[in-house]
Amino acid sequence: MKRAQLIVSLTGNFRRLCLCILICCGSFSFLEAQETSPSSKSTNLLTETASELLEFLDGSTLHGRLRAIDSDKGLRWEHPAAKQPIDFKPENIAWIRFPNANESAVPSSEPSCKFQFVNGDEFFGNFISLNENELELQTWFGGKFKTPRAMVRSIRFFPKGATPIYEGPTSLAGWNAGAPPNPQAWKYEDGAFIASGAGTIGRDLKLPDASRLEFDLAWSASFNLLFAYYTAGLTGFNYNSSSYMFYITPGNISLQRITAGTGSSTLGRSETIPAMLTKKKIHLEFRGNKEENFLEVLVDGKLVNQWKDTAGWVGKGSGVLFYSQNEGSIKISNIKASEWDGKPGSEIATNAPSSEDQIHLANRDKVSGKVATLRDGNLKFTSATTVLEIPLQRISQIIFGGAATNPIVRAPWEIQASVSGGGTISFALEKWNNEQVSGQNRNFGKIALNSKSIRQIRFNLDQSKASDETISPDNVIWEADEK
Amino acid sequence: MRNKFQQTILTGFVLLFVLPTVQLRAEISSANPARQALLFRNGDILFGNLESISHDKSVIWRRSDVAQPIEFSPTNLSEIQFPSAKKTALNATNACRVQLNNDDSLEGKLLQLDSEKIILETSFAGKVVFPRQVVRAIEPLPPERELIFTGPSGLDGWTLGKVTAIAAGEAGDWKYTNGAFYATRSASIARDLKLPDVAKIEFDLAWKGMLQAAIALYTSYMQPINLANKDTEPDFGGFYSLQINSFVSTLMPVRKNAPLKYMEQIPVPTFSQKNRAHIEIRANKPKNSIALFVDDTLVKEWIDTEDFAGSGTGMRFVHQGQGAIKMSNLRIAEWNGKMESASTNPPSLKEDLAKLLNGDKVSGTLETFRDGKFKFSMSNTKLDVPFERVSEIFFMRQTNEPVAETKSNIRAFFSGGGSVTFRVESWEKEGVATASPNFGRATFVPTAFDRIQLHPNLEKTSERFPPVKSESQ
Repeated sequence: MKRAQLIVSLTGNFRRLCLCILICCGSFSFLEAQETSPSSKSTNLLTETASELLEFLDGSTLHGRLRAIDSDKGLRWEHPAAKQPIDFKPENIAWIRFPNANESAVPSSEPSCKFQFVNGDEFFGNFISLNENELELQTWFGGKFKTPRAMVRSIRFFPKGATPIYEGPTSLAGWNAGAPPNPQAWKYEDGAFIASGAGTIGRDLKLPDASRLEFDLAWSASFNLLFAYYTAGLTGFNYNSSSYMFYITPGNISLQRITAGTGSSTLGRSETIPAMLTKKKIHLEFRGNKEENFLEVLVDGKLVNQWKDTAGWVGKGSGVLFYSQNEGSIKISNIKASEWDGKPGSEIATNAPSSEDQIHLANRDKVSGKVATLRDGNLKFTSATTVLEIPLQRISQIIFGGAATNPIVRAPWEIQASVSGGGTISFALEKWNNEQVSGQNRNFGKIALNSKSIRQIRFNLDQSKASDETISPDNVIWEADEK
Repeated sequence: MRNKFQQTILTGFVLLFVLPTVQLRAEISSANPARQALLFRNGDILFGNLESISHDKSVIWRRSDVAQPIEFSPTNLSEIQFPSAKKTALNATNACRVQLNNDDSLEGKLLQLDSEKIILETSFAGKVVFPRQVVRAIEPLPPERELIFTGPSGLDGWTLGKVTAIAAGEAGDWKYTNGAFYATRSASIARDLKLPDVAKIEFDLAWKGMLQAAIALYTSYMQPINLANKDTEPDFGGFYSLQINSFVSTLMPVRKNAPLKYMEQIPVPTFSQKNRAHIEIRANKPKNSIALFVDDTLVKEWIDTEDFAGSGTGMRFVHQGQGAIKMSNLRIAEWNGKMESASTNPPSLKEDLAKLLNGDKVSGTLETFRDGKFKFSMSNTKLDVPFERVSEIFFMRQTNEPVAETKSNIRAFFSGGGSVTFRVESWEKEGVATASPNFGRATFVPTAFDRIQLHPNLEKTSERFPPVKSESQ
């Protein structure tokens, strides 16, 4: 596993910033992005399942190859039908997706914290220290460094570690697809599973006793999706494998307890989920805790329902199965399985008081006040007039008050990279080549990532794609003119 | 932490890029209403504008975010879609649709027919001359009826109503935006649209989540009726309730103090497989008939065996509260009452055949069309058949084998229906110069088309892609 390098030096950052400005004002030659032989520039790209995908804010999509990025000439894209590479200006670019990014960027040392930043970045790493001005942390992309405390929104602690168990899909390999009733129901395309008919796809993800399973779900019409959690039945849906089965329809999620040889019993149903009635794409997160006989579901980071199985944990497997029940097209992408720390509820740090810091304790208490320092395993915290010292192992999350809230003005070449292993980081792109992507991050200065670890990059961070929540271009009109 | 000088430099760096960004965004946005779409055989799509097509079918494409025109070789292209131009009424005398052996069809005014050729005067290419042997059929077109209503253009004239049915959840209102009504909660909107006794009602429907809606036809009452308690509602007169949901459609005649009657329930796969559809309702009060078309396909014609239930001339659209719904492009016109059947295609004909509107058939040799009459020659008799009495004419043919297409052809689809296949000599904004063995050389108005297939001979591309509509509708 390669680890990208970080070059952290404030004076170095400044020199590079000036150099970047000079370069951007003038012109420079294209920076090679991907090495491809001349013979690869041909129509055979149409048949490659792993070609890259360029998506635009106006809903256009093009497969092909990223050849280079140049801040003067734009993004050079090779498309099999174009007689010449096309140079796109950045202002209308939404995403580039790299389906071959299967090289996890997370280091072998177990990250134990998830850091969220004011600029939207979030990634896993290890906490080192915190004082009134700075946070020091260890990142997977380059060792120790410091960032102004005002740039940090929250720190969540994962005592059991936070390395993903599975992240994908990158192909159908490892998945059981092709079972009756429709062997062709599921196909892999551009980092997603797409079902255009009734059928199943499953995989043993080796889920631990407490796990979280996340994915993005998009649909083009009404759908019925069964999601079997902790199942051993991976080749087709049946009642011969004990599991928890979530029944997902537009607007509702219900849970059934499947007992092999006995049948099913309903554990309950969510309230109507408005996001599923007004959108065509959501992020779903399922969490299960065997020890606590507990399950919960979050939609777009918000808790929609929790269940306590009073009859005891029934799931006998460690896999998952998706069963699309009808002809409508659905798309599942960004599947991620990881160990869960068992702390229920939303993790979104949106309820922070405007001026005070908030501490979430392992016993689920919350304390508001002012975080002073956090070092040597102890947090010094002032609540009202009392100074508390709390051992780090008792803390589950710190949400910082008074974080910078000024709107961020972003340059066209400021991109956000999503990396294998989880996390997103944004930076003003300086250089892209086959090995390395480098740029200036607002929090840390100069950073460099392994380009093969990047699953997708997002441009124009303040804009949303016209058809971002849709599957087909047929839907562009709805998103554009709905109020 | 950055010092002040660094911040200043950074601000300059940001401004350098932000200002052009704003400018370009405005250009893209303003270009959207007329944007066109280039579709590729691998499923890619690129919005922009067609600049030209050359004789080898290479396409020159323009986008505002690419400085130079983009040239695409034709092999991997599939289709070009254009914003639909509104169909202009073909109110000429002797208006007809000419169907060719290769499944092309063109509409225009029939000028001349003799033993060798058929001449059609069109709005998109002037006079087009077809050798008689390439024509399969001629279908006279009924005169276009005046539109009684087209809209919506706002909430004025419409009556908003509160849906009180418990199952519908919290009630809301229809909202008007940009040529369309939207409802995200259960809501009712109604208007006296002056429906004629024989009416054609069309509109576009789009939805998110579960589709569940009811459309009241021929109502005189502008408030929603709770069908479960209809007998306790104020006097509402009679109406037909067309119920559609994600799976089925049904029609109910609704009268106060009379039992609810569910007419046949019909599955409509489109409603579960898509999230938009073009709905057309054809009502024929004298025949007690109401027919539903979805995406131009007849779903069901319901015949009420009792008296016509509708007592008014209004319509009510009720969203029943599961998901969001959008209704646009409502058009109401008088209908001629003719339910077109799919054009039959006799396998072979030894003689020309005319089907008349009254159901009669005339077989023989169609000699000429002159002075508004078809002149048939039958064994010992000659017969003049007035144009307006003809339903369809089929020409003598020996086989029904499909006509092979050449690779150099493209097929262009008219925005008002029909298509034409030709070899492009040049496609410019000013005109499309073409050549075809079916009609020789002709120059078409490019805005006549709403899409073109670049490889009509390939089965894959013969499937119609979802229409791409401009954002201004």
